Parts: sequence; C-alpha cells; structure tokens
Amino acid sequence: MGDVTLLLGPVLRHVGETTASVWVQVDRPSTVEVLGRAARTFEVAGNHYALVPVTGLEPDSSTPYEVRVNGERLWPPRVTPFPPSVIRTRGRRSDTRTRIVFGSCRYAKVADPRLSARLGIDALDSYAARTSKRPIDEWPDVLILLGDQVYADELTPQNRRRIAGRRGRHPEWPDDEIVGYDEYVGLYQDSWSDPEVRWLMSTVATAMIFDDHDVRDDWNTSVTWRAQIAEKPWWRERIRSALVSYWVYQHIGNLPPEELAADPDYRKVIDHDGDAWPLLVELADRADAEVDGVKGVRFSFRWDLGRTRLVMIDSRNGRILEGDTRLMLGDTEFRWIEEQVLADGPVDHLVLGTSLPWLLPHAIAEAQMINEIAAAGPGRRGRLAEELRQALDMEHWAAFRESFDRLTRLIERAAAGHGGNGDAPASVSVLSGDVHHSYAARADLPDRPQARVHQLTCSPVHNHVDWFIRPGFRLGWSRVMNAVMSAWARGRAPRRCRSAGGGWSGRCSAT
Amino acid sequence: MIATLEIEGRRAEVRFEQPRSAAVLDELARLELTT
Repeated sequence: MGDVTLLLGPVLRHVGETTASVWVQVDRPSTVEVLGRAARTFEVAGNHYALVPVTGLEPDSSTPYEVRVNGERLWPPRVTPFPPSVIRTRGRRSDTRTRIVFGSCRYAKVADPRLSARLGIDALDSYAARTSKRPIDEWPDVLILLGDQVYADELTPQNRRRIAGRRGRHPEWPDDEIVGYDEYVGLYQDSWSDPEVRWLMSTVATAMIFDDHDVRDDWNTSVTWRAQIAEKPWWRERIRSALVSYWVYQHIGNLPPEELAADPDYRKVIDHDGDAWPLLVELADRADAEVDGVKGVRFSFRWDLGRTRLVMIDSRNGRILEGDTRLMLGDTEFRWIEEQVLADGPVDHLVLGTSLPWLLPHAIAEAQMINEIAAAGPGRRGRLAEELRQALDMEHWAAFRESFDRLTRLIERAAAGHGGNGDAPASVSVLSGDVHHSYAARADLPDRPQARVHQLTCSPVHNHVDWFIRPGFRLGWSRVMNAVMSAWARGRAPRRCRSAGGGWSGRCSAT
Repeated sequence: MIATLEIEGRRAEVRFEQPRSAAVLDELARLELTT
C-alpha cells in the first residue's frame, strides 16, 4: 500500500475562541491529525473525509499548524511559496475588529483561452495571492462564499471530457450536466485545488452557503419548476448527489463545535462503520422533501465573531412551495433565524448572509413582486408569468413577498435594538451575490432605526457578465422606470431602498 | 469582483475591488456604513 494523498484541503472552517475545525479529503481511510487532535475519516461513496475538531487553543492566538495523515506530514507541502497556514482564534482583543471578505459566483479556472478570457481574472485567486504577500495582521478573519462555488449545470470543457469518459454512466444522464456524486467530487476538486485559493482557505476561517448552480439553475424557483424537474429521469440522483456533496464539502464545517457535536446526522456518519452514502441519501431526501411546511434539515447557521454576529440564511433549499404556500423559508426555520438575530449578547454589527439579495433596484423588485402575483393566477396569464419567472430569474426575496416582509420586519427590529441586546447595533449589512452585479443599497426604513441598514451585493467572483446585466440594473435604479413600475404595482411594492453606490459589475468600471 | 467588510469598534465600511492581474486588485468603491 502506497503513501496516502491529501486530495483537498485543509480548509479552515469555524473558528472560535479556543476551537477550530479543519476539513480535509484524502484518498483512503486514515487518521488525520491537527495540533495533536485527531479524527478518523468517514467514507462517502468511496471518498474519504475528516473534519478535525481542534480544541484547547488560546484566545487571541495565532498558531501555525500542520496536517498529519497516518502520522505523515502532508500539509504544508515541503516546498511552498506561501506563508505557513495558521489558526487565528478570536478573543477579547479581537472582539471589536473583524475583516470579512465575501463574494459569490466563482466558476472554476479553465484551460481554454477563449473561455478563460470571457471569464476574466478570478478575484478570489488574485485576492489570495495578494494576501499571501502581506503581513498577517492585514489578512481577513473570515471568508464568506455566498453560493455558486460549483456549477453543476454549466460544465467546464475539462469536466465535460471527464464525465464523457466515464464507464458505467447511465445512458439517461445528460452529457452536459453533473449527476452522480463522484462527478460532484470532480467539481470541488476543480474549484478548491487552485494553489492560491487552497492556501487562503487553509488559513482564513471560511463560511459558505449554496445557491442554485451548486444544484441547478433556478433551483426551487417555484412549485411548477419542482414538478417539471421531477419528471427528468436523472433528477433523483442529481438532487441526492447535490445535497450530499453540499453537506460533506460545505455544511458540516459551518457548524460551531458544540452544534456539530450535538448534530444527530453528523454523529451517525462519523460513528458509522463503512460507507455512509445510504445514511446521507436519507438525509438528502429529508432535506429536499416538504412535510407540513417544514424541510427536514436546516442549513442556516450562526457565527459569533466577537461583537459582530453573522447569521447565514439558506434562501434556496429552505423554500416551501407546495400547495398554496410560497415561502423563502418555512416558519420553523424562519423562527430559528429570528431567535438568532434577536438573541441576547452584545452586537455592534449584525451581518446577514443570503445568497439572493434582499434589496434589489426598485423597478426590478417591483417586477418580481408583480410576477409573483401573476404567476399565482390561473390560465394563460399565470403560465406566461411562470415562464417569465424562470426565464428572467425572478426569484429573489421580492418574489417571495410574504418572506420579504417578514425579513424586513426582522431587520427593522434588529436595527432598532429590539432584540435582547439593549443597544442597537451600529450597522446591519445583508451580504448577497447571485446577480452578476455588485452594488451597495441603503434601506429607507420607515421608523429610521438607529443602525444603518445596507444591502451589499458582490458577484461574480469569477464568471462572465451578460451584456444586458449592467444596463438592466441601471434601468432598475432609474427614476423613470421606478415611477412606471410603482404605478403598475399600485402601492403593493416592497419597501424602498436607494442606491448608496453601485453599478459595478464584473469587469466594468465604477459609474 | 470581491468585497471586504471592515469592522473596527462601532465603525464599518465596505470596499469593492476587481482584479487587474494575478495579485493586484483595483479598488472600485469604498463606502462608510455607519454614521
């Protein structure tokens, strides 16, 4: 038997005052060790992973670490251009200082020169390379990836070749989309093995949430979409592979150690003798199914970063769409979000993450709200509105009006200090991506709460920007279009916001 | 495009940057988020 190989990682995930989680993928069953703490790998469809719980760290410390697998040091590599990977814990000294880098929509690097030119430079790769040359006190504390880390429905040329050459691929599976779990493994390999990005993720605590392309374009946009996709003979396998791979690669590292230790699904997997695929298929089916308005797995999570609180909202899988219901999140998960946002504890800055923007330019938000009403109607008009919804991606918070209003009320309460925190926070920031456009919008809330509230949208990290995006958003912010859409919406439109700066998209310059 | 949220005490600002080359990013905008 040869030497074990570290296939992916280490990825530094949740970091607290004395704890950290380090995720790895290796090529065989092993014992993985970080700073004297060890974890056995668990197996999923023949692949091997470990999430090493590192405990007993000093608060406010910076500790270089190695990854040993079966006693052999596999990280850092013997020769590397990068500084040592470190775990920087939080503590009283860092309570009031946090640097968060964020973005979404990162297509993998490609060898094809024309496609590469179309995609532009990978901003995360460039950011990582710059960071590696800077002193450690200028590094970010947290990296937040807000979805579309992998594109299961828009394959790179190398991925097309990879799946085309696979033996035993089911003849009904499409040749231009990922279906099986092993194929997802290849997507993460492409996305996370870039040397600069791999180093950055090894040394900056990384939080993540998925968006539609991690699964499929327009994922859960409507009950009609769910019915249409369910007819595809390969969908069952695809959604299982997507949700299992999300759980393995992204979700478990999001959980703080006490939550992870108490998670029955995680316990079952790491205690399982043999391949955990059947256990995780059951989990995926539970996560995908709606039972009495509840999804069986909560992917939303919370991190406390000193006096900054991050609450990440799953605005994709958590949707409730059956019957006459249309919600971004079921009531149970929304109540959990409200409890986290308003929970006791000193909060100077509230940061909400949601892959889909809460606030959009007025005209676009109003168009989505009108579309939701029309799509609920019968006959040709309803069908046309559904077709438009799917064609134009009218599926952001404004297109889920009931949930939009509930989130707005929650943000108003938090911004006014109506949680258990006493003083109001100084800022509330909603971080999002998805739209291949970057902007900051300040919310005009009626009671003018003490905290300033902003929508901060950053996308794409590495992807092309369609020709219509920039003029479309410019039109969306325009007063004329705003007046037209407001008249059409007849006062039913969502709350107002105004552009605090924006119009930056992809490779365009500021306007 | 990539963005950085900088928090220091009760002050917060956001910075949007886009890459110019392999390790160089240009700042497109910087916005104060607090009063």
